[in-house]
Amino acid sequence: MDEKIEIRNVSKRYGSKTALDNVDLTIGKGMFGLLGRNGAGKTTLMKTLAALHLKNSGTITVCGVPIEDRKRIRSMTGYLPQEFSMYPTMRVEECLDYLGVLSGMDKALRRERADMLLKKVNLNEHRRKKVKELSGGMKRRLGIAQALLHDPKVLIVDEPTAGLDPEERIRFRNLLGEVAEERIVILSTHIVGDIEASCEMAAVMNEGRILWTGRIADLIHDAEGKVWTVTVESRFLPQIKSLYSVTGMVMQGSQTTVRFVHEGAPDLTGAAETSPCLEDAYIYCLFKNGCIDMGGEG
Amino acid sequence: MLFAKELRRVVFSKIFILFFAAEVFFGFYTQFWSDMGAGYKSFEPPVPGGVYGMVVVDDPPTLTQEATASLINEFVNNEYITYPYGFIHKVHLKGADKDKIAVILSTLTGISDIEHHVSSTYEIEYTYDDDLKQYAIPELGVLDNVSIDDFHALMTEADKILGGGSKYSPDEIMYNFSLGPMPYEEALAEYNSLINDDKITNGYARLFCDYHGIDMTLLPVFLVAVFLSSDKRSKAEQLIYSRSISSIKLVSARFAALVTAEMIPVLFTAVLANIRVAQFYDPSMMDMFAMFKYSLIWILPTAIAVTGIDMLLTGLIPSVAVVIFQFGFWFVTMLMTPMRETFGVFDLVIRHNTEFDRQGFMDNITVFALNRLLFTALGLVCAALYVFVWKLRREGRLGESKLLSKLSLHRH
Repeated sequence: MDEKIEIRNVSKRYGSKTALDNVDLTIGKGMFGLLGRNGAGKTTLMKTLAALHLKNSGTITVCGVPIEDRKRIRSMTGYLPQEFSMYPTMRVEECLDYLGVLSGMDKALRRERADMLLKKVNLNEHRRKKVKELSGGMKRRLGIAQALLHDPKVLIVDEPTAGLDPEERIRFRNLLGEVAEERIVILSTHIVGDIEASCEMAAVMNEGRILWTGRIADLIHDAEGKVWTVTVESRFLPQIKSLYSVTGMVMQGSQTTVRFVHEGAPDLTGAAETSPCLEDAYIYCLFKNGCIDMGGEG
Repeated sequence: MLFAKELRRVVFSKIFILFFAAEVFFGFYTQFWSDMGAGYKSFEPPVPGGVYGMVVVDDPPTLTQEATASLINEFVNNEYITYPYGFIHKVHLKGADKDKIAVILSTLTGISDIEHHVSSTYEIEYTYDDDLKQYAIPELGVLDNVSIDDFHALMTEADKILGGGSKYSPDEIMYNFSLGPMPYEEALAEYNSLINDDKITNGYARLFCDYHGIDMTLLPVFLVAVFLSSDKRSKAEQLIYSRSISSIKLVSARFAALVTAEMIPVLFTAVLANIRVAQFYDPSMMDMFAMFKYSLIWILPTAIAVTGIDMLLTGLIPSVAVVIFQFGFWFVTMLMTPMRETFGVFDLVIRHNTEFDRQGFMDNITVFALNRLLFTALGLVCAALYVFVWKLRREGRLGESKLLSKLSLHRH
C-alpha cells in the first residue's frame, strides 16, 4: 500500500475566515513536523486529516484511501488532540480498554496492546491510577498509548508537548521517534525545538498556507548568510529590535549579544555572520514570505 | 460489550447515585411506602355500615342542582375559577359573554333576572375576600323541560364561554357535582377484585407505577444531560469521535445503558414494594411478578421516551435549557393530567392513583397499550435522530453552524 499522505489544493473555510488555503503537501513515512504560529491552521489540518473536519475543496488520500472513506481513515489513524484527557474517574487501563472497544478490537488484542503500550510509555506501574491523578506528562503519554492502541498506519499528534517540563518533553519526543520508525507521524507544534529534535521533514504554515516544505536541513541551508550576531550596549536594544528580526538575546552586564535575521550584511558595526539554527531558519522563512516585518513583528 | 461498559460508566457516576436516591425517595418512599403505612388505609374486607370513599353516581337531580347552584354563585360574583392548562385562572366576564351565561341560567331555571332573584331570595352562606358571596341555593332546581342532555349541552357551552378548564366541562362535571358515597356492595366487589383478579400486587403495581411514572418523566433529564456532556467536559470528545466505531453503535449502546440505568431504581423498589405489600396481605395470595411486569410495560416506555427526547435535545441545545424544558414540560403535564384513569393516547404520564378500580383500568387498556407503544416509538425515533445529530457533529458538519455552535454543549 501507498505509505504516504497526499494533500492536494485543500481549502477550508469557517464562514468568511479561510483556515486552509490551497494546501498542497505530501507526507511520507517517519516523523513529519508541521510548524507554525498559533492560529496558522495546523489544528484544522490535523482535524481534517483525522476525518473530524470537512474540507471545502481539494483532495486528500491517506495511504491511498480517500479521506471521505471515514470509517477506514479512522481505523488507520491514531489521533492525539491538542486538548486531551479522558473521564477523570476512569483508570488508565480502563481508558485503553474502553477506547479499544470503540476501535473494534477484541478483548485479547486490547489486553495485549494495552500491556505493551503501557510499558512502552512508562505507565505500567500507574495503570490502576485514575486519570484525574495523572500529571500533565503522564496524561500525554496515555494520549500516545491510546493513539497507538489499534496500531494505526498514521499517527497525528497536535501540540503534544505544550505545558510539559523539559524532561517530559524530551521523553515524549523520543517516544514519538521510536513509533515513527514504522508509520507516518505528523507532529504539529509551534515549538521549534520539538521539530529540530525529532523531524527530518517538515512544513511551515502561516494563515492557512504552506510557506515551505522539505527537509529540515534545507530550511536551515536557506537561512545561511542571513543570520547575524552583534554585541551592543543594552540601551540600543529598542533600535535593533525595530530594525531587524531578532531571534535571540543574551545579556551580559550592560552589554547584550543580539542574534537576528537580515537579508545581506546589516549596517551595524561589529555584526558578524553566524550559522543558522532551525529557529533562525523558521523566522527567516516567515520574514522571506512577508509574514513578519523587518522589525520582527508579524 | 460496549453496552456493559457504558452502563458501568452510568451507574458508577455521581449523578446516577443522586438519580437513584431521588427516584427511590420521591418515586417510592414518600408515596407508595408511606401510603401503605398511612392510618386511613384499610387492608381488611369492607364491613357493612362503613365509609368506603366517594364515587361518581348516576343522580341527575343532584348533578343538575349542584352544578346550577355553583354556576349561579359564580355568575352573581362574576368570578369563575377555571384550570386551563392545569393552572388556576379567575375569569371575570363582561358584555356579551356575561349575558350568554345569564341566558344559560335563565334557560336552566326559568328565572330571567337571576342575580336579583338570588340576592333577594337566598341567604348568604358565607362571604370571603370581602365581597365574594356564597349563597345557599338548596331548592333551586332545573326546569323539568330541560332534559339531562340539554343540561350537559348548556354546561358545555358555559365552559366554552369561560375559556375551558372549568368544573362544568364534560370531563369534570361529574367529578365535581355527582359524587356520592360508595355503596358497601361496590366496596366489597372492589376488594374481592383486588384479592382475586389482581392477586393483590397487580392492583398495587398500578399504584406503584402511578407514582414512579411522575418521577420518571422528570428525573432522567439530569442523568442524560450530565452523562452525554461528559465527553465534552472531560475533553475526551475528539478522541471518541476519532475512533472507528459507527455512530449508530455508540449511540445505541449509550441509549440502552441510560434506559437500563433508569430502570434500576424502579426494579429495586419493585422488590421493596412486594415486601411492603406482604406486610399487610398473605404473601401466598400475591403475584410476586406483578410489580416487575407493570414496571416494564408502564414505566419502561416512559424511560425510553424521555431518554430519547432528552438525548435529541441535548444534541441540539445546552443541557441547562434541556433541563428547564423538561422541567416545564413535566410541570404542565402534571397539572393537566387527571389522577383518574381517564388518560388518553397522548398523555406521557398515566395516572391511576388507587390499588382498586381494576375494571376502570381494564376498560381503558387499549388506550393504555396504544399510549405505551406510541411513546416507545417516539423515544426510539428521537434516539435515531440523535444518531444523526451526533454523526454530523463527529464529522464537523453541525459544529460549524454558528447558532448551534454557540448553543450546544457539544460545540467544538
